[in-house]
Amino acid sequence: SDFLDEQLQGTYSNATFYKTEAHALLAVNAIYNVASFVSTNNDLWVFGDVASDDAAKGGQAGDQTDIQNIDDFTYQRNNSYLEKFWKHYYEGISRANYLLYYGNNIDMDVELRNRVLGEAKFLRAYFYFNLVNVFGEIPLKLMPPINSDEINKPLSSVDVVYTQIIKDLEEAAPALDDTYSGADVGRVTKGAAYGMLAKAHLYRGEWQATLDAIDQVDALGLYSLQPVYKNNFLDSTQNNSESLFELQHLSRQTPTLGSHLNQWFGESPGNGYGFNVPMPGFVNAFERTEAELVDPRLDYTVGREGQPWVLGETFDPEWSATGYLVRKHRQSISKNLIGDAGLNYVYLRYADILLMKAEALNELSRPAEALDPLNAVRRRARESYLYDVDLPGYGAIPDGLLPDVTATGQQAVREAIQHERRIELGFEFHRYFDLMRYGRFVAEAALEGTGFSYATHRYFPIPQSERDTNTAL
Amino acid sequence: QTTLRGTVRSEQNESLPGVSVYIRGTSTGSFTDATGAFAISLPAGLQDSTLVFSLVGYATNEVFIGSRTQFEVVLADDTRTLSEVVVTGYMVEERQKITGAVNTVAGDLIGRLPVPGIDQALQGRAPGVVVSQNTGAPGEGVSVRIRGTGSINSSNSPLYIVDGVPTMDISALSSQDVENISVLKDAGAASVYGSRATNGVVIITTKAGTSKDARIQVSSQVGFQEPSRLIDMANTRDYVTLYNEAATNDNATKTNPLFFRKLIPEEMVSTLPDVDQVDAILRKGVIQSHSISASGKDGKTSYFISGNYFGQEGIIKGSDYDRISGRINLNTEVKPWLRTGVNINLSKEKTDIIGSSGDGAGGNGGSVIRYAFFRTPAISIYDANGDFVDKPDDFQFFGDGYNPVGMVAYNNNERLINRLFGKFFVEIDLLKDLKFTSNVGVDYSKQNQRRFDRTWGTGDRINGINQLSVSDQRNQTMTYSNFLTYSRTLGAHNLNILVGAESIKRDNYYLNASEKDFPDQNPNLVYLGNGLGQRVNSEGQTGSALQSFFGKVNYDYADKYLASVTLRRDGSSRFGPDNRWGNFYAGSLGWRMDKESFLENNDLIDRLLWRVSYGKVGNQEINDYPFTDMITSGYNYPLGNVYQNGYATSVLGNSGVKWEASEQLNAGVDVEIWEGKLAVSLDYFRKITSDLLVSQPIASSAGTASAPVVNNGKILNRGFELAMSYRNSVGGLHYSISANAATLYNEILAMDPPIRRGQIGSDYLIYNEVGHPVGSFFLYETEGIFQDKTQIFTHAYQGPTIQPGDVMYKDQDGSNTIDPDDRRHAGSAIPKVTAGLNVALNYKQWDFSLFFQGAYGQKIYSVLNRDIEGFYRAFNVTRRYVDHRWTGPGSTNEYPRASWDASGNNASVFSDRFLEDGSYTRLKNLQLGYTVPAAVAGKIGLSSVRIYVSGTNLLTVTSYQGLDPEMTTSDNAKGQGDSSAGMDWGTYPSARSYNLGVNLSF
Repeated sequence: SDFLDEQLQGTYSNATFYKTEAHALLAVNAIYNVASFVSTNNDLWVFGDVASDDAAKGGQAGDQTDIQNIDDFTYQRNNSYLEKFWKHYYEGISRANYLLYYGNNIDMDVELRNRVLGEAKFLRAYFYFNLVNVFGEIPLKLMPPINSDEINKPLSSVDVVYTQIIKDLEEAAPALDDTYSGADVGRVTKGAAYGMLAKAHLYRGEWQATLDAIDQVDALGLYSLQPVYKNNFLDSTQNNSESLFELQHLSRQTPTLGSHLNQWFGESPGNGYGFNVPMPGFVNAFERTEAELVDPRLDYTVGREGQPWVLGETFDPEWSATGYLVRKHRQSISKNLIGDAGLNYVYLRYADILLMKAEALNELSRPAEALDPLNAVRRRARESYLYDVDLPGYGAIPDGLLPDVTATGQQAVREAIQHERRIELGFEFHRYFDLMRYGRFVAEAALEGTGFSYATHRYFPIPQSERDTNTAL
Repeated sequence: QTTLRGTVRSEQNESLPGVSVYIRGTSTGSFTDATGAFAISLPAGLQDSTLVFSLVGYATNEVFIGSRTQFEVVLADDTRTLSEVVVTGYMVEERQKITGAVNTVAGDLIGRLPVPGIDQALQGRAPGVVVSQNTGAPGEGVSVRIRGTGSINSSNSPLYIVDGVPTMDISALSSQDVENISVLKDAGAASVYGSRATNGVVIITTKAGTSKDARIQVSSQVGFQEPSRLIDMANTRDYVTLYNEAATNDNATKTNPLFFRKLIPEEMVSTLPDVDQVDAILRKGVIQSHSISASGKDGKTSYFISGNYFGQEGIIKGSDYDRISGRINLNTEVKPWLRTGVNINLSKEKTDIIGSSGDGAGGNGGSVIRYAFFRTPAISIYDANGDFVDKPDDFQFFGDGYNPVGMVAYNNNERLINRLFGKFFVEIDLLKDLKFTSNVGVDYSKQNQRRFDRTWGTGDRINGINQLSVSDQRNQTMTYSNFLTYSRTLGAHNLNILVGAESIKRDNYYLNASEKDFPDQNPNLVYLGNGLGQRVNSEGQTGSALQSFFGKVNYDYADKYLASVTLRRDGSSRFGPDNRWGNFYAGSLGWRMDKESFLENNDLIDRLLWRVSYGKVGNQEINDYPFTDMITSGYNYPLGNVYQNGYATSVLGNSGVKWEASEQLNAGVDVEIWEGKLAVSLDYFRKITSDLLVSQPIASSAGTASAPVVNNGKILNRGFELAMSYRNSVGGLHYSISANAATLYNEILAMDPPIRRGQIGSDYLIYNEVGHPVGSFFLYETEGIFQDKTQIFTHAYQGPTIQPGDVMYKDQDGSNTIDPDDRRHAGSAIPKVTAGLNVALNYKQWDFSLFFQGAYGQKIYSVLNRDIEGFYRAFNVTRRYVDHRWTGPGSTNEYPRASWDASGNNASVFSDRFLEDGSYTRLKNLQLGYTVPAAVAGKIGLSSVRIYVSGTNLLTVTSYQGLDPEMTTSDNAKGQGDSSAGMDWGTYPSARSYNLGVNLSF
């Protein structure tokens, strides 16, 4: 009877949503929301950095021992950071799947619809890329959780997941815009899709495909290195020409849209927690001239004794057990915005593309060609001295600083590229994944002294909560 | 001058000595002698007065004098005044003829305890009715379970019927207004309430005017509460010793000196304060209740008007609750065939909410009591300027937890509820035996909650940008019930028929708003509009409807053979169109064996009733619209440096969701022997709930949207319930002992897939699966402490970092590795046995009562102990840990060594190490009263005066080491029902109270 017919008020349902252009945009924005560092459940850094040789857990002893267990490879499958990361990235996939499932029936401009669906595919690929690199075999979900068959999915092999990632990126790229303006700046671009495609192929060791994707990036003619390395990590120079895929943050919003990273990595007097601290081995890996002048990228990446910290104060090594804190994600802002920083996070930038190109060429036994993109990255680093007015001795490149690599032979060039990736992309959450794909020998050497064994720790275990609830496992 | 004479007897026909007999409104009076006789001279002109007979323990009787001079008066036993008629569904039935499982509780027992609500006062009063604290915080209510836990997720609370109007929340009512309570426990009794009766029905009847003379009654109770159970914590000296011991232990296992922990310098110890952080947030609180009522019957109109106040200062500073309520019950006979009336209850409740349970995940902020236990004693509360110390300078030594005193002081979270609850009714006698009743019930409430999260602390680290959140809600439930009752006696055949229809419509509306960045934190200026930050508001509306048709037939032959049948058909808007309607039924039979000729003339048995009932009742107590997904706002993202709205699916729906139903069997016997001195009721029940409505946790890989409600599983509850009372008198001493006890066996009969609950981090502590009770804890089993390396080497592999002194877990699956497959079921929070014992004595003007209550066999997982006995970071630890920790081979097999690094083994493993037996016996109330002789009272114009002292929770016998074994849930588990009860996050400490009270009437 009518008396019992209660209609949902003020809230959308699947029956009323996914109908219009506005709905499509609202739905796609919510997918980006997951990829950002608004939620502390986005703990990509725990895997990318802390698990690697570059960083230690940091923070207070005893606090967040689950991170410590990941650092030490003594984790159990009920480790909360495994669970948080898993659930959070799968939420992103779920949001993308909803839009992709309902999207084709949305009545709107076809081109815009294709773009929006392309954004969803790109983001789904991004989430899967991170999940598969952390966990290996995972459930591959391409449908929203509309029934128990879709909620409970068995594991798919790494190959199958990658095949889907590559398919999504290939479908997304042509639908995405080259660039955006106004209130669309920050949406994923064609360049982002081809760049991610290159990265996915690189992780699979598909070297020619990597180069092909990079050619597509270069064909856009939009990307170049910033003259100053640190521009990639400043609030004032966001979404620049080096940035291919950048997650956006904005302070002082309700609900919060700022990044929590500045608090998690920040110094204790500023109410930071001081996690993800650089290890001496990382700091010592930076090249020095005979006059002991260090690679300028070090002080953009790391806070260390005697150097100015973000607000100009002198860095106090007592802030960290190792004497170092990571600086890249620490926006210089008022203390009230701790945990709510406007600083973006650049996941994929052109320096990475250049180093991928170098690596692919070298692996295709073309080491001589590989030196060109490799040295482009090194040149920009040393030429910071020509453009960064804050550097002491600004105006001239110091003698012997970061000379071009002239090595010959595939192995020598390979090592040079691996070194350069570690330095150039340090504390941008890539190191652990690079180590893993370099293989057992490199990974075990880098992680010596922890409980790491490539055979058992190549991938993290699927979280206990998933085992407890997914009936298809 | 006339002399009035007579005798006073009890219902058992015993003479009653010491009965006060007086003429209302005068000081003329007397007492009955040893034979129960009295004589009073009647002053001239008082023939139209009333003679009042009163004796403690008996119901006061009033008799109009008129021209009579001889009086034979019977005083009914006070606790039995209601037993003759019992209010059941839509009708009043004779106690003697009830074939279902029904318990009654007299209003004065309910009004006795210094507790805010009627539900609290039900504790221990009826077998099979289990009442326990929710979080224990003032204004947070209690959990009432009748015959166990039938549902996993849906509500397990009974349905309350207040003067014919159904509600799920009786917090607005004053216990002083209650005339009596009937608890309907089985399907036979409750099924007429169909859809919502699966968890039992509590019928509350409020007082009405009965006396021809207007009466005014005043009752007042004032007392104070203090914390009764606390955990002894380490002092600064011990803390430092332990800290250094742990650091030394941990440094010894580290290869990289970079990660060595510094020791607290010994010379620092003498400079440190030694603060009892828990004590600092507790206080003695005043608890008081006052009530005044006027009642009477004037011709064809009767009235009862009352005003009530209840106020409670919580024992945690800043947590307060008070309620003002007023009631009007007005009935009038307009025509000989038409009666009409209104019952209206108006109330205002105010609660100052302080987070006192959970870790903050459930709202209300984390538990301050938990923070107080964490905070080390070496941190001062105030600095030299009198400001709160937040993060200490040496926070690596003493922790960076919040200052609990500051949290209490700066807490600002107030909830106001205004509520109107009442009904309008008409009764029409259509024919001699046919009556039509129409009830219109209204339950309207308005709730306003304001919470201000103030910026404070070191470097403004707490709530860096302050925020005000305001929520305004309006809830309205309208109940329309119309029914016909027909009763007819034809010779020995007695017939009662009920046919009716009921419609219930509920509408909720809310408006939420929040604002950030208030430049001035003065509470007088913190209002929406004054914040500089972004303003956010949202609005919404939900509704539900329930429509029912029902009928009931009661038949008996010569009061001897009794039968009753109920049918009901319910439709609920909460289910999709295909699943809305459910059919429910019940039948019961009774046999008054004592009426049979072979027992009729025996001297022993007064009453012997055999009863059996069977029926099926439904349950639809879930959120509205479970059949649909919900897509909601707030998943925003900034693009082009401007925030953009984002919408995502936040709730998953299930279009196939349908009625949960329970099939209930009840068999019982009521016996009264020795002229009613001893009464015993024994019941056996078996209740099987199927198609459980469950919000089932789904695979984490399905994302964060809340899980859909599904129908999954089948649960068995069965048990015995015994109620006994014995009353007698020796000389002038009247005594009564009433005891009740119930057993409960709870088992999940079907559940596919099993349901995980009780989440902490990424772990689920509770595993609901076939063969185990609801809320069964699923944990590692401890096997003691590793004493040496050999033991570690020979034991199942527990990880690479195990050291002597760490906790040893049992390898349940024989895999020689300790992993999550070694978890086992370890008991549930559902008590296996509950009991209550009430002893009452009256001697002349004195009365004394003792009330014990207990629950047995339930388990509590102490999340708090995991934090304050794990010693994995700079939190304080318990004294028992300090005294008994492992310090070397053979030192102990109970408490592990001090080590932060070992937390993964010693603290964060969810093992039975922190699972405790929650059984307890509690002296709930002790009361000593004195009734001023009526003659004395009369001299000051009062008809009766009783003063008393009482104490609540004076004694608790339990092995549970936490704050309150009565605790059942926390803010974390809100909305998860009983399937994640029994997790103690540091709950509101139980309070002991001492009270002084007075009851007056004139």
